[in-house]
Amino acid sequence: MNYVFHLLIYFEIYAIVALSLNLLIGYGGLLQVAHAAYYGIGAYTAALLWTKLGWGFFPGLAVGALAAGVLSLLVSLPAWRFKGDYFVMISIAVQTLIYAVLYNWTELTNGPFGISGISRPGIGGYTFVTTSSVVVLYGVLAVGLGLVMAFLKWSPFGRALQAMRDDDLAARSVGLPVDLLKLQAFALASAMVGIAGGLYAAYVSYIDPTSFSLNESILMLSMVIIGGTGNVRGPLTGAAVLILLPEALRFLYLPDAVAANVRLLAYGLLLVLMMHLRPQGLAGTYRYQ
Amino acid sequence: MSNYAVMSQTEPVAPRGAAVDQTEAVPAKAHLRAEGLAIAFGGQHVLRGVDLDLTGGQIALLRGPNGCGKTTLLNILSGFLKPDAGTATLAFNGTRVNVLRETPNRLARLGIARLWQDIRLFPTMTVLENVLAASPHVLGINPAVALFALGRVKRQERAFREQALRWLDLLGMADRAASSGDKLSVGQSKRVAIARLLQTGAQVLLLDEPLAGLDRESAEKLVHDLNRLADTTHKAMLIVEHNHDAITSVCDIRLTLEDGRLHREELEGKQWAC
Repeated sequence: MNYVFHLLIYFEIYAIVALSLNLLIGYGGLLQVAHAAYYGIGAYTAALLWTKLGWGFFPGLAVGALAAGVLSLLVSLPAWRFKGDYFVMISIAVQTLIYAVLYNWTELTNGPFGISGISRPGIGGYTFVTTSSVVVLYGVLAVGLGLVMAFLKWSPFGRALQAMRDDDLAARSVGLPVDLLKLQAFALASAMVGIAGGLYAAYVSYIDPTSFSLNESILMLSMVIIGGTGNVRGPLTGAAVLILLPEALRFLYLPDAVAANVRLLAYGLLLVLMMHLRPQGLAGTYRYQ
Repeated sequence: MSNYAVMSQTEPVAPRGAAVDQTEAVPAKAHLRAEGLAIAFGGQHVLRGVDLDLTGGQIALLRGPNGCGKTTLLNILSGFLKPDAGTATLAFNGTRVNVLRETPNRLARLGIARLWQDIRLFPTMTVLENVLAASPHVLGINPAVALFALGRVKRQERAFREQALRWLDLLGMADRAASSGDKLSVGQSKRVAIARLLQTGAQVLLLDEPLAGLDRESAEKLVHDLNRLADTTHKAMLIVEHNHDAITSVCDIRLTLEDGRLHREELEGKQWAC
């Protein structure tokens, strides 16, 4: 049963990740490839506050989200000028830069050795020690953030993002503050994935930079593209598929050295098949162009 | 004496960030005035000192051969292009705006919006959403306000929705409000795009070939509607159009762009809508 709970917790964390990335890609048409970096900023900020300063669970999570939101300026400001492939290059550069900082700023992050001894989530005097209690806590947070995302989609903010995604020039010409919208979308999405990073750190109790590399960003991107964008159920579907796929491959009993490569092959194959057969994803409404 | 004459030409223009300046002697109708606009691309002079004067309620036809700079002029006046030289100001309702200092989105809010030659509806949105997207000063565009001031946002959205439906009704598109933006004919798309312009609340409309691709009947209907709009809403319109015969009858002014200069003719015998 613990195994199922473990998968559920991962699904809840990645549901938040995929929903936040969907705000950028699905609603705003902004192809972000540095999402894992902001996931890492949230995780590291919260973990440092918990382990070094003894902060409580929620304050640490909130400051982690804030740090990720503020540092999203690294991608949102270039997004004013760069579009399409050029923007993707910028976001890869930001991903690499933040990863390098996490890896090399050893005084703060402990470099490749990471941060260990992160305590489990807690509220007041209660600590969520059992896996099932973490499932409940993370489930509540994921549903809450999912509702916020769904609500924003139907709000005037979501409508403005959609207009910007459909036609940047036309959006500007009818008075939409496109540059401000980009700042807001990146800040919101980064803060949200920062929360997911904090949840991840608190659950696994140990983090190191390898969990926040470009590969992780590509996994997040795959979730959104395979599941689909433009609505809430698409990213959730993608998160479920890409969490369950490696678990399904486990039952093939492949040697460890082969399993990782087979998993990457399966991701690649899925992406190619989706591009050809269902470009809007399994459950999405918007076809990214 | 023209309305604009009461304004001093040496009146300081508001700086960026505070581009709207409260002044006393400004006309009740919007007044767009440009002087000496010049621009060159790669050494080729497209505009060589263009002067323009347009008041609310007037319809001006801007004509000229392909490539003479008509769309370039619209791009400058809508903030998408900065000229090499010249000035442009918009005066309306006690405010004066330096057009050349503003970004396109701020200009749309301050009073100048444009219709694109290639229409540019938002294809994944419905007709009504297309028009709603252009609503001015939307509270819910701020995500924090959208989340935490739901009542105010909803009330404002209701008002915007009613206004958008009125514009669509005026242009004969209310029955297509729920249709997707990419499921319309060229003529219908143009009507929706014009409704979207009107929703911005802009007082000066720059229309780039609104009749292109329309059959004769649709073109006549659209011209009639534009004329009615100019009369009833006192909006100024600068229309780039090759179908001169269809539009001249409702124009007050004919502007011909030739060799980078603008020649102005006042037209007699405009057909009034009311």
